[in-house]
Amino acid sequence: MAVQVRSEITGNIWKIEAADGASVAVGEMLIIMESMKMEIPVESPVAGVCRLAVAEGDNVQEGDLLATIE
Amino acid sequence: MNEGVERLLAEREKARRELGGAARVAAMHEKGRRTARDWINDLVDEGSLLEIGTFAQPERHDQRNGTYGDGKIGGHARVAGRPVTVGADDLTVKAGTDAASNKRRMDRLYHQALEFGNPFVYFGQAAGSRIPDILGSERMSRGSGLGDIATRRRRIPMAMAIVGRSYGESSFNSALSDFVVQVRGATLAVTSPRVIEIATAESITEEELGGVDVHNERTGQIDLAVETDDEALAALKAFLSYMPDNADLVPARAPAPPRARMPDLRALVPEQRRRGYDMRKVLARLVDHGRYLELKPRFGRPLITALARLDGRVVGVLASQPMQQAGAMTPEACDKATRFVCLCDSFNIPMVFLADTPGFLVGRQVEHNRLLHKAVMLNQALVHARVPRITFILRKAYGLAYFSMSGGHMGSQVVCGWPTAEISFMDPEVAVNVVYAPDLAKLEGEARKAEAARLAAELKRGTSPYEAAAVMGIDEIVDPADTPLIIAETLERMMSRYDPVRRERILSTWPTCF
Repeated sequence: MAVQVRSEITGNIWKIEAADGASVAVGEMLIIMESMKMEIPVESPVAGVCRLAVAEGDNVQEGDLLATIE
Repeated sequence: MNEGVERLLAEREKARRELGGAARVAAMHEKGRRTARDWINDLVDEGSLLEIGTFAQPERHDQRNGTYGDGKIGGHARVAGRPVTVGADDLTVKAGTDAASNKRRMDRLYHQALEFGNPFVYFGQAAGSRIPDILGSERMSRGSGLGDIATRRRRIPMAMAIVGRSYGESSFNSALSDFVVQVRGATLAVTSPRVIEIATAESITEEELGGVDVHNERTGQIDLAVETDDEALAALKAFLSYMPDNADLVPARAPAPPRARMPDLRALVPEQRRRGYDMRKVLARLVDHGRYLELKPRFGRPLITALARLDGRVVGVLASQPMQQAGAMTPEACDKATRFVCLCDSFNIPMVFLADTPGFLVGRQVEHNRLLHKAVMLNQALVHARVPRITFILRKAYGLAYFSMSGGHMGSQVVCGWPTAEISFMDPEVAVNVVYAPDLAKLEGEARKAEAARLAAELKRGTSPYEAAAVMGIDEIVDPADTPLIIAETLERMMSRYDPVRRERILSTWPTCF
């Protein structure tokens, strides 16, 4: 089953930490977002294979899809 | 059985089963909607309702059609074994509109709840005042405005669920309540779209005007938005579970998990000062069973306000949320915090502050949204609060926001810093450009950047918790893992001699809405 990871904030994708297709553990950092000069880490809620939906530099709104964990 | 009793039982049974008519009840059930009686029955313990005013009828004789209740029902019951007074707008009689008889019925219920000293819960969906009952100076001039509930001074907890189209007294009563939950599909407003369109030609849907999303995210006039009726009932029960029966009592202590240090807390706050984190993770590890009821979760989001238990005692937690606008305080966050401080102070709920805020948000938008008055209002509330209070500076605490999170000498009995704490008037990176602007202006390019960084690092050393601890500005620098123990110990000392009857109750007279 795939779990969608959505953004809880509006901001930029500053750094991608987990490669597309990489295996990630629960709580592993996927992405670091940037908003209001703060770096906001996005962690994986489950273990699985990470499928990224965004790239570094993208601007995302709250609720946008960031990644899917399969 | 004598004839009188037989008649009573028959009439009562009919009133309770059929409300304003069996067909109307069936129509509501067909649409999957709860009637007023369903709402009450689903909230209270089975068989516990002692109804008041079953046989109320419209004041105007020409309006009496053989049905009872006059559009609002209610009585005294129990929820989880505790006494609660409950009422509901009954759509099957006159659309639940507000009128003279049912107003007396509701005022009576409210006064009895006050005398009994138990919470008052209401399911609101009144379409507004009954017209033409209220038209004309004779009838209008007899009115008493918002009614007796407007005189409340938070002697008993009051909770509302907005479960339908609410435009009348149910809207006003929600604003007078301590807790409001709204179900998706319900509307909360003062004036209906129909009247708005007639008056101003503005065309707007009910959802756009006062739907859950509007209040949850934009107005903050509700405390919780839920998707289903069952969630609304669960929310009311959860809120009541954190409340005392009345303001003369402290909320009951629940069995608590064994007291223990929480080493996980050491790793939750990043040392890199620009790195955000989710404060809800700190909250979940700090409180009993990781359970808490967050109020206004999507309004004033840089600040979390939540009811929880810690060491079995109810606490109100005010925590910065660095994930939202870096945790910077906003006018909306001040509104939310002030209402929450008034709630905690009125119902003898000690407060725990977890601060990580870079300060108040600056700029035209927040200034024009009344930042000055909102910030001062929150600080006034804090200096008037008399319930026990404990403050932890987790990381940043700058400017007036430091005091707004009950740092310094604002009335907290214990103020501690985690090793990551930084306290100052202004963030070092900003302060450098204010304080050393003339010096920096003499430099250019990389040289200016390097000098700014050097000066910022110098100022940064001055923000260390050791500087604050050196002059007893904070009581202690603590291991984050000890935080739950410090709170439990402090509360035990403070609450053992806390007298809810004799203490000052200034904030209980503050408005319920800001």
